[in-house]
Amino acid sequence: MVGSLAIVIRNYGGVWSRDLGTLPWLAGKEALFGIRIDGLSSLMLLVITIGGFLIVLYSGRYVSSRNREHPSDEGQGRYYFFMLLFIAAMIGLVVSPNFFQLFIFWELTTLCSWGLIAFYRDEDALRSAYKALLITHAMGLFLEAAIIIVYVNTGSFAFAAINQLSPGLKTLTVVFFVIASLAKAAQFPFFTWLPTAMAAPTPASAYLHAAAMVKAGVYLIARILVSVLIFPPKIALLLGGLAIVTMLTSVFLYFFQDDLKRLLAYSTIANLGYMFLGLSLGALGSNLGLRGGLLHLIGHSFTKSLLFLAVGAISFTTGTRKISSLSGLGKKMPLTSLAFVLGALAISGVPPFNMFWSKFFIVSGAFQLHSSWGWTLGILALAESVAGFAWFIHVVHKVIFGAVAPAVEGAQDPPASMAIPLLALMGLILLSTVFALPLIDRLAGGLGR
Amino acid sequence: MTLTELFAGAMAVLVATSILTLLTADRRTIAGGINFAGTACASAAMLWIAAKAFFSPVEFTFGNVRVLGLVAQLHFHIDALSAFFVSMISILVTASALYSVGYLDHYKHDGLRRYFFPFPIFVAGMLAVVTVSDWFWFLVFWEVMTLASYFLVIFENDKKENLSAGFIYFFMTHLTSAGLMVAVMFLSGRTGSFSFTALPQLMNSPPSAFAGLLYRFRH
Repeated sequence: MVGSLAIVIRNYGGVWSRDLGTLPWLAGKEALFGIRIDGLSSLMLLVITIGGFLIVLYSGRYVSSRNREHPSDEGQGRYYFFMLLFIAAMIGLVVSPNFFQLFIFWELTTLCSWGLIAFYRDEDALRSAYKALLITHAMGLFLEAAIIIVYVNTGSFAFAAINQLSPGLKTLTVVFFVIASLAKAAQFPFFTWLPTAMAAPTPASAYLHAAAMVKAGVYLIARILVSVLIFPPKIALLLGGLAIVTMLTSVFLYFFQDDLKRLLAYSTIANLGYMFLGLSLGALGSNLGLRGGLLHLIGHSFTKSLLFLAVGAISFTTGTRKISSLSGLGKKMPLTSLAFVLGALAISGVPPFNMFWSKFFIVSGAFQLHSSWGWTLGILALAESVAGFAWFIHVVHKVIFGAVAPAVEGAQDPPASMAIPLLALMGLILLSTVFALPLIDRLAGGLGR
Repeated sequence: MTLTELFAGAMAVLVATSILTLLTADRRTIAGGINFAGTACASAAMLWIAAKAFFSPVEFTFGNVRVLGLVAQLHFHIDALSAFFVSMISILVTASALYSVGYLDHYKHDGLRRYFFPFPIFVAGMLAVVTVSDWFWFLVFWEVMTLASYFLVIFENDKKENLSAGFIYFFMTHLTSAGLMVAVMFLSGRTGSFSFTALPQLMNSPPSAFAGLLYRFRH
């Protein structure tokens, strides 16, 4: 984490690259492996490494026999193997200088998520892991096909090589990239794998939602957007439309959830929709929308980590995540309750928290298009936000306030190694906008939109 | 001391009061005293500004403030209407803060941080809402006021009816804030300014994309 932060600060949105090697049997114009850090990579490195560090710190106590929901010390080696590999794979993915390296790490994240979702090895976990692997890997074939099209036609794996394709091939390639991204980011119609992936240990779920796997899908579209000189407008419109459909479908499903983690999973799906909406607005010419989409990526990472780790602390001490079984947590677990309440306010877009600003930018960006389509997207996004807010406040009232439920009688705040990440993330949901926006401004300004 | 400094001082006192009561809330009478003293001082300053504004409008600005890439002017304009609301708020919150010192005694088992921390923030939010003359800042202060008052509404969070009232209150205010946000975005998009003075300019402008959208929905 310290190394990555040092590079991000030293580089401050500029470009730094280094070639590391190639493969003798795969001729190309450039090196196949290397490191390339620009503004977009820097943004991703922030969430991958800060989030990764806090989650690994939290896991020390969580994955142990003290956990009332899963009291076992077994499998710690396997857990940390996949968790650390997950972090490394995400770093490898976002510093990739070309599609070839990106694809290798893309598939590695799929493998790591499979290992973590299947961690408890019960029937539910194995089925969920298989489903996640099947959907993300199958749709990953579209990514592979797109990369092959680029390589065969240009002889290069470079991101910018897309611009050398004929208009028809370029559109087809971008469509393939979009399909792979939508599956990875659990967007409509591929979103069903993410709620079932809640079988994973909660810190692993937090990382999967906050910084890894699903965010790789958003990163790929952002990378394409940065690399492609003119993003096909029809695909941008389609992306925005699908984002809205995903957001509205997810928020509708909020109301049927009794498991806190599944509620957070649907919330992730909806918020990833916000990010795709922002990126699609950027592709249509709205700089504000693009900045909002990237800001939402950062804000959501820290906010969703906080919410997941708070839910993890609740199940760690009460042994349950059922909304219907929990009440009065505020009296027994004040720190965890504060974390959950602040996280709920932030994810709902209440100021002054980070996700208010990103939602403000995205919706403003939609209106900035000065078209009926823009206004429709903006108003539907706001409607989703208000409905999501209502349900989160309802859940806060149900589980945090009120009389103490029997399941909560013996509850207490988690030990220091789990409490410190909660405190750090509470600070980050207020401050992340301040340090992320300058990086985004350099990046979005560089796009010339 | 200028009126600008007096206004900034009143706001700073309210924020400091909020933090001080957070630190002293375990000693209930002291926290209540600090809350009253801070609120009374800030109210006295605001009443003085309001008295001046009744005779001629008071204006002051803290210049263009860049908030996360958005440039909005932190400009205050206190005319007779604002002065009326400032007076009403200042007198009532001072009375309320004094009354709270004794009244909160009967919540023996409830921590008072949940009351004393949001109370001065709520007062500051209300005073800022009725004096600011920039839509962006109006929205920000409006939300600060809403969030602080929500925590006051659900102070007795053991009672289901209070939670239910708090939910309806927060939901309705958030819903209307969303409408307000749309209006602010629309205004800034059309005029390039968040200032109150841009509103008349917009009213005289030709039909917009939004009006076009409404037309399409109607037909």
